Amino acid sequence: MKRFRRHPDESTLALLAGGDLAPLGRLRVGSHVKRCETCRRTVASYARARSAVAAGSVVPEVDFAALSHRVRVAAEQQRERAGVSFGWRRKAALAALGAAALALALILPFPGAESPDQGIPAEPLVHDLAPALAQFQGTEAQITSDGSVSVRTYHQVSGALTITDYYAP
Amino acid sequence: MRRSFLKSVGLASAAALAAVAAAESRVAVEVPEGLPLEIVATDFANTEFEPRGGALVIELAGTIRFRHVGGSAVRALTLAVDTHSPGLGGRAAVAAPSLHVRNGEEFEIPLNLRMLRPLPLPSGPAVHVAPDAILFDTLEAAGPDRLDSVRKMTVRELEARRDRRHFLARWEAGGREELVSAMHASLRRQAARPRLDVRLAGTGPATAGSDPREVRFALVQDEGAPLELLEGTALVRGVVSDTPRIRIRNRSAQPVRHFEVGWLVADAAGAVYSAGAVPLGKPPRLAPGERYEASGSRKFSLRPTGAPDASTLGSMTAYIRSARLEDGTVWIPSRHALDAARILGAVPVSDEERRLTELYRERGPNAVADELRKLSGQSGTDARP
Repeated sequence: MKRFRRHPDESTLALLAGGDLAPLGRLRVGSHVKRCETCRRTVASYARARSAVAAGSVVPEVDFAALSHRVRVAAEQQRERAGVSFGWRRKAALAALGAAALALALILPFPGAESPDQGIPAEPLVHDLAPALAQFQGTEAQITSDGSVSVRTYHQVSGALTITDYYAP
Repeated sequence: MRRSFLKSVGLASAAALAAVAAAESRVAVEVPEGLPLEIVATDFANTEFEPRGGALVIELAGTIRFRHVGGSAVRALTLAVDTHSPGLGGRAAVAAPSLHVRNGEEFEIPLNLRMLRPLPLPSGPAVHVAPDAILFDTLEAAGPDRLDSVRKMTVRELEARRDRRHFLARWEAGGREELVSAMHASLRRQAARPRLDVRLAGTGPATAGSDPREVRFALVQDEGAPLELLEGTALVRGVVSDTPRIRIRNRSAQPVRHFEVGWLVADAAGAVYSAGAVPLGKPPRLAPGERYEASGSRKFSLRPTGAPDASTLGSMTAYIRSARLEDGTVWIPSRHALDAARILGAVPVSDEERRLTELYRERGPNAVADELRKLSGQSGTDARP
């Protein structure tokens, strides 16, 4: 049987530690490792690393919300220590207030909107949307005597013609 | 404390989103009391609600099927579409002319329009649709008529009867060949007629740019009209027309309740376009012989279609387009008068002529002839052939 006059290379030792060497190679390398303290330590370290990798194959559960909160708190404390103003805090508060206002505005009834006869005060509509309504590309629009804009549409399926008057405020 | 606040904000936001989603079924259709209509079915499944900025864009697409439960046949129906918003896009009217619906029959009105309303949404339906007025074949009408629908439908119906008589006369004179020739002439005229892109330019102060110039209207007189045009001007700044003024005299023996002045615009090259009617608002009752100066404050941008670089408006022409007299009769110009004034090629074809030519294009001359025969024989019109 061939004996190692030199130390086996690290990959061979790693294979031994994992039990992945062929039987003859295991006998030869094992025989050397029994007699060589250096190689024994190397094999032992590969065996520990393997155990550690095996144990770490399942990712531990992380509470990312808590982690994020901890990071923010740490960052805040760092800024406090550095004398920096709490910009993120103010922005967060403003954003929360804005979201709350939007949410409340969306769910609360529109005052006076229940009946057109309740005298809703005239108010400007969102101006950037007005051009989308004011121009009727692709169809012929005609002005009417009351200042509305009239567009007629032929519905091919039903053969019906409709005239839509859009009233301006 | 902060966590509970954020939680409440989250819940409120979710509720708000749910409210927007629920709005998709928030199209209410109602029939005012006393109208001889029943709602058979509605379908607004294709309607889309899109929050954009502080507004809700409503792409209203659907159909309403009505049943006529009255005596006289329905000739036209106008639906008021309302989001209860006072701004642009908050209110519209959809008119369906040239109907022929008898007692017990059902008919369908398609709707396809874009509406706007500011957020927040109301707690009830976001859009209300309801008949504003019905016009019967006797030219009688019913409905709340908040949008002046009766007058508009009557004008359209008279134009329709005038044009149906024209095509029926061509059919009777030369049969199918003559009707085909008339249909082709109309289609050529519609295709050749230059068009304007109309844009609402607001009611506020004039925008910056070149100084406004006063343009005098060329006046087309119709000897048969109850009104005489005396003078007309408008301020023009580039392609924006502002503050039109028309002086007019009632030369008929009856008071005039309402009138419309047709508005033609020429570009620098001399091509003539129809802008519709001069926006003069609702005029007062004009006694026989009375003179009146009507004016409007609304501005419109009028740009020839396909000429986005057009920078100025040329001349303007005015003609009497319709007049409603004290006794309820409505006057409209004849085809002959429009032709004699050389404006027949510039004014838009009537809604009925458009419908008949589309019918011809889709189904051929026999379908048009059937339609003409079906709708011929109405009475109660002042319109002349």
